[in-house]
Amino acid sequence: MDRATTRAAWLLCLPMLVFLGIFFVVPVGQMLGLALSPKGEGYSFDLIITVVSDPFYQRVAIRTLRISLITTVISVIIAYPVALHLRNVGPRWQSAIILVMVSPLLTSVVVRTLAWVVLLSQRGILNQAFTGVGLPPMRMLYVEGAVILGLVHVFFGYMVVSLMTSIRKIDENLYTAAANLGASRWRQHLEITLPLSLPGVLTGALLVFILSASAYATPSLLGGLRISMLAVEVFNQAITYFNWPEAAAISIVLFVVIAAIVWLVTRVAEGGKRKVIFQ
Amino acid sequence: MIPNAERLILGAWTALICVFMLGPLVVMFAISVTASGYISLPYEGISLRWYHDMLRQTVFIDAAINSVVLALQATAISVVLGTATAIAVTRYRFPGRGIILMLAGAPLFVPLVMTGLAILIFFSAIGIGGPAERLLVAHICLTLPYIVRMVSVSLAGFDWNQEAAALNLGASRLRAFVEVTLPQILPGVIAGAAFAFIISFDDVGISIFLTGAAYKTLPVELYAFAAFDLTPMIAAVSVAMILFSAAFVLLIERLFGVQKVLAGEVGTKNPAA
Repeated sequence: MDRATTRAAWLLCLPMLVFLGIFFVVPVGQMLGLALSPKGEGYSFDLIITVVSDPFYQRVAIRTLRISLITTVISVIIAYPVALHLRNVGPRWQSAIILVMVSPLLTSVVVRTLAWVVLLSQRGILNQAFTGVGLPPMRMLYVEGAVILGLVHVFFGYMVVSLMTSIRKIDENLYTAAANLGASRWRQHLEITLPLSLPGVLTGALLVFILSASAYATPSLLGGLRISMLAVEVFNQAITYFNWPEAAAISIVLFVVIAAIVWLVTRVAEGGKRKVIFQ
Repeated sequence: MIPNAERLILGAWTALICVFMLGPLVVMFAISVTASGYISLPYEGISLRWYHDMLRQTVFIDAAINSVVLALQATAISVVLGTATAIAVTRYRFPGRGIILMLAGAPLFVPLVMTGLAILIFFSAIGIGGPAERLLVAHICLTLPYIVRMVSVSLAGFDWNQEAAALNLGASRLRAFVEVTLPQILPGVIAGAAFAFIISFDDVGISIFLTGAAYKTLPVELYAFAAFDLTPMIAAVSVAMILFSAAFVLLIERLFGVQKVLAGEVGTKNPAA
């Protein structure tokens, strides 16, 4: 590679590099600095350790992981048949179904979450229906189930797309061959579809897990003050209590926990081979 | 051969999930046209009173204008910065390319609340710029990864010899780019820009840290309003936002197909790819 092209390439990238350098890398570094040195005198992990050993944050962290994990598992289970069905239908139906699954991703998370708020709230649509037929109103908002339901709905499209991409690639001839060799349909799915779709399952699961674990608007609207998650606590500390160092510390913990889990899962799944999960 | 039973069961399940996906949005639409004074389906008749109410709420109108202006500015800057980078990384293999790609994607790997908080801290430390400026900066960070990725993918099949040919025929670098390269990569750039616009317009995770009392974006205003008071008006605002996004979804769908954009397959239609 000659130096002229290298220079041309770097020149093209320079504006973006300068921008991200000043407005992304420096701020993130500054935030790290604030968490490691809240008073500006010497660096230590004291604040991070305080956050990690606080029973309240421990509960919130465990809840964040639990909710994200359940959301991910439910998403995989309910999206898988949809992705399978996409193989079976013609191109017109295929794009119609995909549009239904994916286009909600392009409306605001706030709007999609509010739709669940008006359905589930104390005097919401569902409770109006319950009382209409003589049932007592049920408490459906500000419980963990509501947050999980909302997160599944909000991030579902990513799961379908990830599964579909890998299931679509499976060679139809494999099924014909398996059928010729006498494999039942169940066995074909178990031994062809399932193993070959695992990369898609992994991509979708990691994506939904990461997005759920760092979600703010959905847990805050559907979980209220009772069902808080780590991203909500970052906001509470930063904006409500104006405690930026502690907010920074929580967000670092959040980031490290997510990164560690993603690293571990990809390590295990790829047998030590790292792979970029964001397409 | 796909057994009929399988086709039937999977089809029924898919229909069920379609209802799950769209149902809440349909309910939102029904609530927005209720004649009642509280959140309910339009049992007592249909009325546009909540849309009328919405249009009289200056906070929502102001927030909507803020959001559109912000999204336009962020998209414009992101498209310029991102397209230049996308051209460099698809056309050349050079030392440092990996680092550049990593940095361009970095804002996607960091939780939104972290980016929001970091930019809040940064602007307070330098002491200049209000909510409008810090939101613009944040939204450029937010949209850049998408632009770089989508334009890169649409460039993947482009034959750079065409630009070289134009240069050999005496065109200036600018003219070769504007008349040869740009028209061919334009669909990718437009789809990327439309996507970036929606991402910016809809964002709440970063924006909630950066808005001010006098300068809010529409999703943040809606969020704040709904946390305080649930009236059918929030359904009207939601429907307005859904329709607005839908216009962009249709644009992207016409240009590429939404699922291709989200799956990062833009450009594979190109026979050269």
